[in-house]
Amino acid sequence: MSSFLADLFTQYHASLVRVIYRRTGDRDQAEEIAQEVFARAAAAPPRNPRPWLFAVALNLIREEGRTRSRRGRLLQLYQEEGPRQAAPPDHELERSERANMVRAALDTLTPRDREALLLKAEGFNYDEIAAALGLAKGAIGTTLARARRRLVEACRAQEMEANRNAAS
Amino acid sequence: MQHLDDGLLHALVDGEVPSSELGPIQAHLASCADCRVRLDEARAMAGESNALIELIEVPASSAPAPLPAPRRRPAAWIKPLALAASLGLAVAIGYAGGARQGEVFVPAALRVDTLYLSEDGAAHRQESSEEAARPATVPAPASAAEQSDEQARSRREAPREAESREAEADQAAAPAAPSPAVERARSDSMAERKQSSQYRLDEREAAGRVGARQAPAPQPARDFVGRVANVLTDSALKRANNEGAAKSLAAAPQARLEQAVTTLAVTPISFTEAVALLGGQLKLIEGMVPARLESSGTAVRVVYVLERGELILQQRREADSVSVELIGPALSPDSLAKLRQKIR
Repeated sequence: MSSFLADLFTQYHASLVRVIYRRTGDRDQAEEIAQEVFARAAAAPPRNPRPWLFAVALNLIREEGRTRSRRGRLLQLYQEEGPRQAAPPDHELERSERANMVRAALDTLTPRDREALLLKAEGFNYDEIAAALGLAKGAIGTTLARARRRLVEACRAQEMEANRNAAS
Repeated sequence: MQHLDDGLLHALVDGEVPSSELGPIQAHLASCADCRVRLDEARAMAGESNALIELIEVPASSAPAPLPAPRRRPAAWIKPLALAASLGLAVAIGYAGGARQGEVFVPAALRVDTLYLSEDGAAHRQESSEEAARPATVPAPASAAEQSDEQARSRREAPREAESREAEADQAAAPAAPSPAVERARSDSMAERKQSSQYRLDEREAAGRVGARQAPAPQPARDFVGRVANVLTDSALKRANNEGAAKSLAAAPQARLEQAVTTLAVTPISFTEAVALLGGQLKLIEGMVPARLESSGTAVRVVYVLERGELILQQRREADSVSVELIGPALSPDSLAKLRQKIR
């Protein structure tokens, strides 16, 4: 059982942290939730680990009610670091701005749609997404279609708003 | 055939439609320009949403959450006192028996086998010395190394340990400042380690490895600790020269061999840190659930709780392998053999 757990950890820990982080925006919390997930896997080794791990993680997130937006957090952190640290390059700031924009756009989706999208981004197939989210496989295509459209539209809307503000 | 709905189009983009169902779909697409356009839009949308999500990168870890604090155990002051007394007696016997200056008698009954696992997973057992007990020569005392936190902790402990404790020179991980709970757990852990530290001395002598830098020990025991440390160093060198010993020893630089065994610094760590310390090769005992993970410098300790006490699977990344040691209460040869087989 222990070697199984070690293999599971090696295989899925980074991906799990990434999905949780993209879902919550909190790096440390993502690490803690991932730890809890593997602790539960150790107690009751799952037969189909991949969707199980992520299903447990997403359930834990829902239980903790973490849906706050992290928009602007990175910029605030840069400001707090102050004179001790050189300002980040423009491209990094731009990237973090865009990441914040995507997070804000993701927040406009329903939890199910958002989670389906994040799991797909991790390479889950429809069977795995269905198992992780407790949905019928036949519903995944429709869920992703809706989620993708809303994410792209929300991001485009934010960009338009940002351009409008910059122009004014 | 009716127009293809969005769900089906995205399933096509994702390659999720069974090949047995593609015939009618392809036929429709061949005859319907609208659906072809929508399929292209679905493909672009899938790509764009993936690219957007990938913009969200996980930042570097600030302080990974460790495992829950280890269970507290009552400080077993009596055991280390008894062990210190017995070791002191052993030294006295060694000296009284006319051994050369600095020779130390090491009881054989406390030896535990040491295992080295190479990259191919083969377990190479490093047998304890064939002799029940043999004196070892002592060169000049090793110089004390600096380890202020170990020094502070050793001073806090009331009974003065007569046996050596390990201290690792390098800290591969950078743990956060220990909380009170961690400090308590550490002091409790120290009490337990006294029971097993004697095993570790013998392991290192048998294996010819000395892994830790000498750390300041409590003043009354420092000389003894230094002498024991040098016993191990010397025997390690002799074994390396005489037996063409385990590759972990052969590969160890001289500086590392000269590190003395005195104080053991143990810090609770997470799975993440454990795997990172060992380069992704964390070894576990199949069928057993670890109680906690700890680090001691570059060594990772996987701690299992048995009825008789704690069994520790201590492992350290070597040049091209992971060395593994079993530390714990005396076990029968059968039990030990079974445990070895379960290390994965």
